[in-house]
Amino acid sequence: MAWRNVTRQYARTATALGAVSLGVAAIVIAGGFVHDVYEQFGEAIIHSQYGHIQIYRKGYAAKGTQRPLDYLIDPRAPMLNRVKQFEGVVSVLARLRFVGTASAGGADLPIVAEGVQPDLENRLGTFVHLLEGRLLRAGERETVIVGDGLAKALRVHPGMVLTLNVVSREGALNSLEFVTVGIFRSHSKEFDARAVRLPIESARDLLGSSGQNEIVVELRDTRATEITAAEALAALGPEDYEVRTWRELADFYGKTIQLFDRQFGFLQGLLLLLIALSVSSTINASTFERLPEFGTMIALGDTRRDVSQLIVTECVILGILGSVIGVCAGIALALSISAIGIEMPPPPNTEVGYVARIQIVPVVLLAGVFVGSVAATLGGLAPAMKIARTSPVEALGRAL
Amino acid sequence: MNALTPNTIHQDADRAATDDSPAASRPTRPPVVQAESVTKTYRLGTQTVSALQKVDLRIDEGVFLAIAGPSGSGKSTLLNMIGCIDTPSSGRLLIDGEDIASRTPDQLAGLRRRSIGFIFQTFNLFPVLTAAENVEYPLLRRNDIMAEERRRRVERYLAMVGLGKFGTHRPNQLSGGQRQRVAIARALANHPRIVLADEPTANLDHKTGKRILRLMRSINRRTGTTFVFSTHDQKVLDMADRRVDLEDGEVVRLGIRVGENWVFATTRSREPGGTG
Repeated sequence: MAWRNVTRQYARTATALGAVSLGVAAIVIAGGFVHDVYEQFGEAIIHSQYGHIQIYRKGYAAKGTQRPLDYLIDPRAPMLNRVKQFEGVVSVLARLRFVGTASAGGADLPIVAEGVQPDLENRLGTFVHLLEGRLLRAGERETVIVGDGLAKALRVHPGMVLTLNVVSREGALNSLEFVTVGIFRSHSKEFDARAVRLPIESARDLLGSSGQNEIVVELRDTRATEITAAEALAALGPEDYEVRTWRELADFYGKTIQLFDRQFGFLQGLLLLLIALSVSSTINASTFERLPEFGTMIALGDTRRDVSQLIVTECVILGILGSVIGVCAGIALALSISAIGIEMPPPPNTEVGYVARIQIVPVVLLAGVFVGSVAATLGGLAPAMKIARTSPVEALGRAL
Repeated sequence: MNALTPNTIHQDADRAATDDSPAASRPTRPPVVQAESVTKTYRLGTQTVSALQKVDLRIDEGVFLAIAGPSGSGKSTLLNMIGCIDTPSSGRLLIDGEDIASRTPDQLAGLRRRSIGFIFQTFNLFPVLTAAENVEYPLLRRNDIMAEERRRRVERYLAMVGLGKFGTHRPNQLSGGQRQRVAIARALANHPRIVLADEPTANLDHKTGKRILRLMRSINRRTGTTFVFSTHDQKVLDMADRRVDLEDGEVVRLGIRVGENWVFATTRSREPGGTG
């Protein structure tokens, strides 16, 4: 009887289905948008600064900032080949990170410099935006690219000379002049305010040492980060090496996600409430109209409990059907919107905007079906309870 | 007019009736309805309204009974009691031998399912169901009636009311008279002991109303199903073989048709139309 009521009463069903499916579609779109925000934000962090995983000598994470040259890894170390063979690894990059100062036009500013392998770094750095000039090239030396904030502070442009000053491992002050070939912007304003990148060979010359202190690993699939990191640590030995994932390195990412999660969770809770109220309102109105029908059912031998169960069953059917329709509509809308893309401003603490898309996330689709079904069922409870309290005489009396 | 009492009227009817109602020729069976001093009061705000006052009534099997009276006389209330949709405030009411006063709502639902059929003034068919599905509906809760038997009954009763070919029609595809026929078939499908009809012809034109009444009378004579009407329609009164007149919640007169005439018994408390 519930199925017949739902499938044969077109106007009433369409209204209830509309309420449920709109709400579910909104959940699918909102959830897909949020996941895209998270994913793109993460990819920006990975592909402008950290890579997926970083491997260091033990102790570097705690003390490497002050004494980066105490934790060098030999370029010929066997561990590098082992890392390249882990499943899902696209590339393994060497970085030599150090601190110093940069001078230009009489100004001196502290910097965080990274000696990099230009070809590998350029392939990883898809979220590094070149504002002026060009990126570093393989084989060249004594060239640098400078972060946007630092360049502005030193008034440096491509073609100008930048002097880098460091304290070597032996404690001597070394300076070298470099030609600025490009100005870049990453996802992080903070990073861009102090960043300089130069070919790793030039960095080794400047520091008077060989080796690198950071091994940056790029993976094929970001979702494999944690498991690959665990495998790497197990394979290399925690007594000798440390492994950090990009999430651990960019703790502001976690905080930002937490903030967004709360906001979007609240939004989804609101949507659940809206669907439930909307369905309840529709079912309430139709319950009042159908009171004579329910009275007749009772007169013919149904109990009030039977009638209440009928109402709830109809709501469950409407909830499931509406949720499925909503999911399909949500997917269709997601694909349409994604084909166009949504221009987004830079997220907090970042400099670069991006084009958002609506991802189709299985867990979000399931959540949409769940929320739609539960909300519709909840929406039917109040009318069902009302019927359970209505006397048959009153219900039938409205038919007269 | 004979000085008949509510109880003796039935015995005299059995001896004296010249009509061919099944009641006259059947061996005596317990009454379908036995009301003893049934009273029903409602509270409306601070006021207490007495809808029925000490009603004594016996309805035998196979009768075609009209409960007549002006608006507000208690006809619908009495019908609701007999239909187990409502319960008395005091007194005793036995339906098919069961005292309904002490029954739970679920037990009353079961009693309605087994023993009582309803025909409403506004037909009250389920709009999303076809005519056949409407007739089948009361059978669905009966665990003792299987699908094949349900199908057989639906066909039989739709044919009985002349709608054998209309089983797949929805109510909005039927005329008023056809809808009431479907309602009659639905009321009979459960083989009830008693069919209650609340102003069944009120929403029908004169000609259709007469045809519906003749149909019900014919079913009453053929099957022996008891029909009880709440009405102030003269057509119904003309067809009835028993009548109960109510005024202000009291039974003021009982009538039995003998040939073309009525034999009435006035109750002890008041004359019909009088003040007691």
